[in-house]
Amino acid sequence: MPEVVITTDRTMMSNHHGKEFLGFVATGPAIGLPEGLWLWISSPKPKILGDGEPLEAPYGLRKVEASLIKNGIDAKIIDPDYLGKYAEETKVLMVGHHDFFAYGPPSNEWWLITGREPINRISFAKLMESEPVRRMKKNGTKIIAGGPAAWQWLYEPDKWKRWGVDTVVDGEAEKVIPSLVRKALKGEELPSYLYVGVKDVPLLDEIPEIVKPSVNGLVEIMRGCPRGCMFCSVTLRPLRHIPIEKVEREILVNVRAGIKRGLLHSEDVLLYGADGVKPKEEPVIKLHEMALKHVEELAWSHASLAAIRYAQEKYKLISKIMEMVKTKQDFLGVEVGLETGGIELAKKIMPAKSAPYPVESWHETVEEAFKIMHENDIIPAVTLIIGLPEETEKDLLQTIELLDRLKQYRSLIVPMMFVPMGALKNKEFYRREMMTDLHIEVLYKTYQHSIFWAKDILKKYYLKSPLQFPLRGLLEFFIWYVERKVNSFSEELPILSKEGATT
Amino acid sequence: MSDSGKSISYRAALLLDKGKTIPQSLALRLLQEARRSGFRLELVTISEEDPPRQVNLLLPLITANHSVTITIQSKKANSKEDLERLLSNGDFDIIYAEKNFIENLGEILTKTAIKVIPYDGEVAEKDA
Ligand code: SF4
Repeated sequence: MPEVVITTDRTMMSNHHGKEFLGFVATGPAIGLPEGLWLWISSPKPKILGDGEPLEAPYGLRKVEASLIKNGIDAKIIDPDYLGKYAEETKVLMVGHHDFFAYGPPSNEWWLITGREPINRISFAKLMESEPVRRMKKNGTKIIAGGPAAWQWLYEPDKWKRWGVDTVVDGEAEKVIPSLVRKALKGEELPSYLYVGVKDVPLLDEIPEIVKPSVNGLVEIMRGCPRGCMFCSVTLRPLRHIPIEKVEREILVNVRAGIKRGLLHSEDVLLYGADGVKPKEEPVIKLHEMALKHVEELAWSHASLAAIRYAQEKYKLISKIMEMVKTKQDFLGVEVGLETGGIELAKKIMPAKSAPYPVESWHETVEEAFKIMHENDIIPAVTLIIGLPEETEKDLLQTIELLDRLKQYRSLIVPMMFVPMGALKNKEFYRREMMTDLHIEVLYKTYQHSIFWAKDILKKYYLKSPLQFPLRGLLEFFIWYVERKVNSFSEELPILSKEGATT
Repeated sequence: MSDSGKSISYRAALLLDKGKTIPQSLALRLLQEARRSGFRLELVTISEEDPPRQVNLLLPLITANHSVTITIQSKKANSKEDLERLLSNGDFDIIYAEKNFIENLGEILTKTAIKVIPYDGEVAEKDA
């Protein structure tokens, strides 16, 4: 029995049917479907090895596990349904999450719009209140919580106390976690809170390699981001490019375990091996050649619009990569950040987002990048933030104008409400009463855009194998249901009645 | 905090009054001191509040920070004896005390012979 058990709730402990994007479904409440079915769409139970160990586990948890194992600590990731087997022996329980309490985007937005708690929040609370976790606590198990959403505990001190969490760790944990866990194992007093600052962030050779497979073959190729947007916490971390040999070893950990998909994780995949914000051809090509040698299907986590434009204009790099990728698959999925169409706002909060192009030409950069992706079968999930501090009516009007220009390009645009993070983390959260008519118009435009393209994507690209037909049917039903609902209440909103219902 | 041995840090005790956050000026001062001491801040908070609530009262410090490693050890003190014991065994560089503590427990603080700096706490907003 391991001394340290690492876990998370079902919305995280899943491979989302091999489609990362479906994981987002868990950030909303069940809409038009029973909760169980909703959860199955977003987060089916993963394949479990004999003792409750999932075959694939979230990459962040795998890093923590690797770091503990490397330091001689007996640790294992266990699926939440199997914690009962470990309740008597576990000395330390570690829980991680991307969005413990659904304060992050897009959960907070779903919550705000529907007025109902998102599934991920409900599911995490269920885990913490489950019989095995309560039994562990009764037996004196120490509980350590961490991950990208660690900050959310600061706003939930009552749950923190009720669930008996001993320590919350915020930041890159690999370097600090072994000593903390050792303290817990020895029964020493633990800090309530630990924020990992610059001096304790791991250097490249201190980042351990995963030893067991990650969900959907996710492997990290970079950490940090050089663009410095003020609302982003990633940018506070130092920039590190993971050497290609290390990336390859992690891909092989996945492939050898039968995970033939690969998901390259970086805040900007095209900046792999780059000097500053200008992509370089060779490292990106080499990375893809290496990855495609091993995996049957590839995806990117994030890329920036400016890098997409630059890479294509300078090297035709997008076409070259997609030519390689399309030997294995029809399209490539990626998340990109548009954030705002307001030029003045962009200058204030994300002046380097459009670099190397001037921020004044942000609209051209965005449209050009959308066009390049459309023509090369890259399907982006695009984030757009509303309610940013200092946002003006002019910014929102420019955003609306930009959304009109983007209508013709295949993409899913996901609006998000401002959540204070990064250099803006002392600002106020966006609240329902702050919503203006222009915000509603932006939301409605993104809804129209995304529904139109979601139907197209489902028809031409997504879930094409017969085995995936039930899931596809449910998604089609969901789109139909949302359309019906939105159409019915949009008629009652004067700001929207001038709009047509089609894109 | 790393495994690589003892590192320098700024170590302070913070006496928190019930329901009162620390002012922004104190948060900035703590961060400034920490940046001078290896970018590490070790805080021992002492209050009648439970540990999670004690951390919550330090939000002005946590949200203002981007670069310092902060470790918060939260202790409950329900009596003068508790407080005296915690302060004399803590190996602190300095004590920051909400002004109510100074008014009520001045003599204990003097006994510890550690430099004490008073501050004016601010009533905390209710949680999310
Ligand atoms: S480009 Fe993206 S990851 Fe980089 S700082 Fe801006 S928001 Fe953060």
